[in-house]
Amino acid sequence: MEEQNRSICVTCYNQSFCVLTTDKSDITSCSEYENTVEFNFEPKKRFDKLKKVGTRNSHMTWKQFA
Amino acid sequence: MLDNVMRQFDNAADIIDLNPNIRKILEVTNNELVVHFPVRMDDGEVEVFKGYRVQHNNALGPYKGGLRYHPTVDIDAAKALAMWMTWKTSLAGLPYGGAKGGIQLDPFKYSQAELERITRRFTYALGDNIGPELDIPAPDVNTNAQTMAWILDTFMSTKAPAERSKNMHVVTGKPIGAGGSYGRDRATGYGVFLSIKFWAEHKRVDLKDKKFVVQGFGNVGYWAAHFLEKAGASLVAVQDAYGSIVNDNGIGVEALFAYAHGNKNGIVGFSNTRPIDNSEFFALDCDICIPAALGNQITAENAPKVKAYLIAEGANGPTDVEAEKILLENGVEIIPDILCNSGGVIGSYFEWLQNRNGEIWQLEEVMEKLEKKLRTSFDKVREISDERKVDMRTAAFMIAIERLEQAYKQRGIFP
Repeated sequence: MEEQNRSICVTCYNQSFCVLTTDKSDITSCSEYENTVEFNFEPKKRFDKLKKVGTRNSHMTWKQFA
Repeated sequence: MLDNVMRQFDNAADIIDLNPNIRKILEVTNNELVVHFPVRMDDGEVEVFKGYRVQHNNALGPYKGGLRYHPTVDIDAAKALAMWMTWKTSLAGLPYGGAKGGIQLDPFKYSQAELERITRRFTYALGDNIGPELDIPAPDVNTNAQTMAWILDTFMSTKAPAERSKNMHVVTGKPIGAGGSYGRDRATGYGVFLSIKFWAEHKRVDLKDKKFVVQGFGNVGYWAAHFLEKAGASLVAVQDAYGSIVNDNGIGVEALFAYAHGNKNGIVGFSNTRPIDNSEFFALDCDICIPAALGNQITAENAPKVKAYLIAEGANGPTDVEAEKILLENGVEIIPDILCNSGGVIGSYFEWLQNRNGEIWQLEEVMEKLEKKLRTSFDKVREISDERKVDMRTAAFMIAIERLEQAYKQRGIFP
């Protein structure tokens, strides 16, 4: 994750097996990028899992704001 | 990315001997906006998000550029991409400047309802820093036509009733039913095809039976292949995230598209093709090579093996600096990305124009206008390339920067 922190590859569905490049450190655009929202979105299941591991945007969360 | 954009700018600026004061202006961004905004999540908690909008330059018209939702979005990334948009819109001869922005988040972690609220609240946070005559966002990584429809609806809702319909062109890339344009889906790929067609006309090359290979079978790669096949050329190899396939006798573009659609968008395993080692892809025997996936694909390592005599850059930055030198020395011509894939932003401009003028153009009309616009850009690049004895990429940057320089010289600097 650290070495790819400048790259859109970190959230790409194809990342683990993509043959297009070995250097996934600074990819700012790619036509093969699979928008995880469109292709893999299962909100309910993910939501339950995420609740267990904590906040999703932890550095920016106001937990007790409500 | 920023280094690369700056290097290309500096190179062209040196050649045209750009006015040093104008150089100072173009080297920096006009505005960099950071917003923090709260959004209530599905579980009742509130999260605060960080959004960006970088507006590089508007000397030629309203800022124009994408909005992306990704954890890597930050000011530096947005700066480089915004600057890139300024050059691209300038070269395309559009009345636009350059911008980029987004929200720092991983959309995978949020429900559709949350993403809608995040988008709407981001739009509200941007307020009048965007607008149909000020800054016009478009889809980018992890944003799509639906995202644009939410932005449009939110932006319009904040206006007085009588003003609402005057704001349809605050974003482009909208769904057809919400003010989108016919042909926007294929505009970039069609632009890649047109660039190849114009090049072939200039060189008196008949595209019929010419062999071409495409890296990336996404929107750009597919549509470019679709139009080239219609022009009589033959697709002989494709590479995507899953692997590479080849058939010297030709691969049916539509059949491959249908196969990929039912195969998790992967092309490997398509009938009558054989898989090849991915490292062999750019060395395949062909006439035209279309890298339409991502950057830095043709390098010093594989450039000497390239057999194609034309490279049409559908992706952004697919040829690195060393590779370009080798290719040009070997007589391989390159239609640079800034020109070759500019069909997309031209398509966006047409959507904006239709909304602005209360018109709806049919598909044929959009395609005709796109051809006319891109031909003008292409001819200008060829002309400068021949006149000034520079490669097409340098010529493209020179034209883009000179247009901006002219605007500043004619208008002067306020006060």
